[in-house]
Amino acid sequence: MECYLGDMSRTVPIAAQLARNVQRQQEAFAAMAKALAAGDAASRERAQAKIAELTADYQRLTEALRFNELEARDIATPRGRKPGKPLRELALDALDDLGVPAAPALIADLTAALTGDRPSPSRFASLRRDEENAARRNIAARPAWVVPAINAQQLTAIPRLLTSSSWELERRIVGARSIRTDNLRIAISLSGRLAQLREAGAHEAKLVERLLFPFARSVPGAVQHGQPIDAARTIEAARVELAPIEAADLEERREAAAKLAGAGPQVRLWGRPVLIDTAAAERAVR
Amino acid sequence: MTPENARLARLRGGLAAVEVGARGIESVARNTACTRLRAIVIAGLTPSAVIEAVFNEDGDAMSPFAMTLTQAFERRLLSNGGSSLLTAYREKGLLASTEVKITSVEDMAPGEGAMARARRVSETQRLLELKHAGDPRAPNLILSPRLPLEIVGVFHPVELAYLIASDTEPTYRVGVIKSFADRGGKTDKTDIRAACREAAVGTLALRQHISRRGGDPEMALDKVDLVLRAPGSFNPRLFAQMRAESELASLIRALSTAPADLDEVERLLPAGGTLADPAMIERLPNNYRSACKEHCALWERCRAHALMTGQPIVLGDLAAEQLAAAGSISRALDLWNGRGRPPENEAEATLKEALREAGEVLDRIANG
Repeated sequence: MECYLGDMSRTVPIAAQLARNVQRQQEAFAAMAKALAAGDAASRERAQAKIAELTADYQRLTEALRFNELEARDIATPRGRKPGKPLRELALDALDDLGVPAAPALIADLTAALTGDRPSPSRFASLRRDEENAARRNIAARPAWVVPAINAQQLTAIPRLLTSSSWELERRIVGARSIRTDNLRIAISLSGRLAQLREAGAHEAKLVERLLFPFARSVPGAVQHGQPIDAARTIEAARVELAPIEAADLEERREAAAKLAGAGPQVRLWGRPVLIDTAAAERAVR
Repeated sequence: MTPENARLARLRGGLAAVEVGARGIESVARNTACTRLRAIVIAGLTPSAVIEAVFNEDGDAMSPFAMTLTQAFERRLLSNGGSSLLTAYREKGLLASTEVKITSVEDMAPGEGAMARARRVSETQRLLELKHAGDPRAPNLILSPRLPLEIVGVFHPVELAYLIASDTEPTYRVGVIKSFADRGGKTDKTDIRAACREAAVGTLALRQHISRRGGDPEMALDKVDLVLRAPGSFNPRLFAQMRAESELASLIRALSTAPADLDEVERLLPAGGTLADPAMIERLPNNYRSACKEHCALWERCRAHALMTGQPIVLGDLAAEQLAAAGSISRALDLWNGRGRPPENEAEATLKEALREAGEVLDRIANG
């Protein structure tokens, strides 16, 4: 996960980012005032665009800060895994572990491996709808929502892939290469978890190894036939595999995130509405 | 509703259209002489749906063992973003290490609702457009694509296993996943041919899409990819770029007559007659073959009809071929026993002689 987080998340605290944003907004407004006084239309256009961009970023950061504060107040300690937790909590826990958009079946399998309690993947569709409805009523009601991943090209929701609203936008976006890069990151993340569990002698190690196997098998050189998974070897192989595609993937995600940055909070979390070609549907046999 | 759709709805007579799918459309090419099967499929029904809705009997159910095996194998290949499938292509050197662009259409719009299905179609078409426009973001693997296949002016959606293309290829190839084991030369050729024909349905839909967008349909080559199961395991065995020229040709031939078939069916049925009426189904001519039980739920009815009319096919394909000159089992028995009319032509005379010789052999074997 470190390689992922190193690239994908800001290490600067949100409050500091906000302060920097405010500073930049002041500079942009100053530039605007100067352009207006000089009658320079080109500079005015540039300043306007900059102000719009910084305002959108400001909105995102204030929301992130509010979520963080809520989370700090409501859940002072890391979420403990215990049976009987609501589905949304189990989903958010598993997503935080994986760190990338994941399908309900994988979330259910990871929850089962770590808690022994496997939620039915079919329940996640209604969870996603419930979350969206609840957020429409009051988006600040919860520190994090279970939200769908967003398609980088159309900026619409990918209902089968779930993420956490507390993640940065670019991390919730799925580009052309993201399925592969995310699988490699899952392999790295589960390998790290496997190494920890083995070190602690925990019986869950076997379960995590079983979960990791299909991901590791798709990485050249990660597993040896008939041998238990070597976590370090898998991490190394996955990183080698990730290296040539990571930059292009990140660039596509960031471009898509920039396009969405100015949208409202609902669109940023649940994507743009989907348009259906009704003319084609009319010609379908029925 | 379009006029073509209204025409098919009238023919169905109140029965709801079902998704025929690639397998259903492929079955038409297996027995092109069967007007009953063609009428049912063109109308947007399946033999199984007809058995259930018209004859109120149990439809053709796949064995639970086969169904579980098929679903598990497909899930194994397509889950986790198709990583197993990608590995199979990488190992064969058909995709480079940077050709890892994968999109799962089913992830975009899961479910069986009309909206979800329509979105899967539009999403597949959008991805095809990316590829045909030379967009570098076009996926190398499209999992569970859904394409419309136009037959007599109506779109029949076809859900495929996957589409595959490297970055340098101008369009996709259709891939099918079959859970039967690859036993080399001992794999049933009929199964392989059926799988290739099923993929060819996808190729045809792909060609139609390219043609509708003003492109050259031949851009989609008559090659398909087939993934089988390694015996005793769930490991995939990939057979890439298999020629499906004859399968595609047989399918095109079978579907090209669809408009004429529809006219013929409407002529065969009396005014107001529909496929919702069991008598009308029975009225449509069938062409029972011994392989019908592999793909058509109506095979028992057609066999009963063949038995009633003494068609030699009930004795098997070989007997049907050898007794073709007689035309019926009773006539063949007459020729053998020397009863009834004398042979009417040279073919019957030759058959009579062959039957006499076979009878003597049988007599020697049975009585010493």
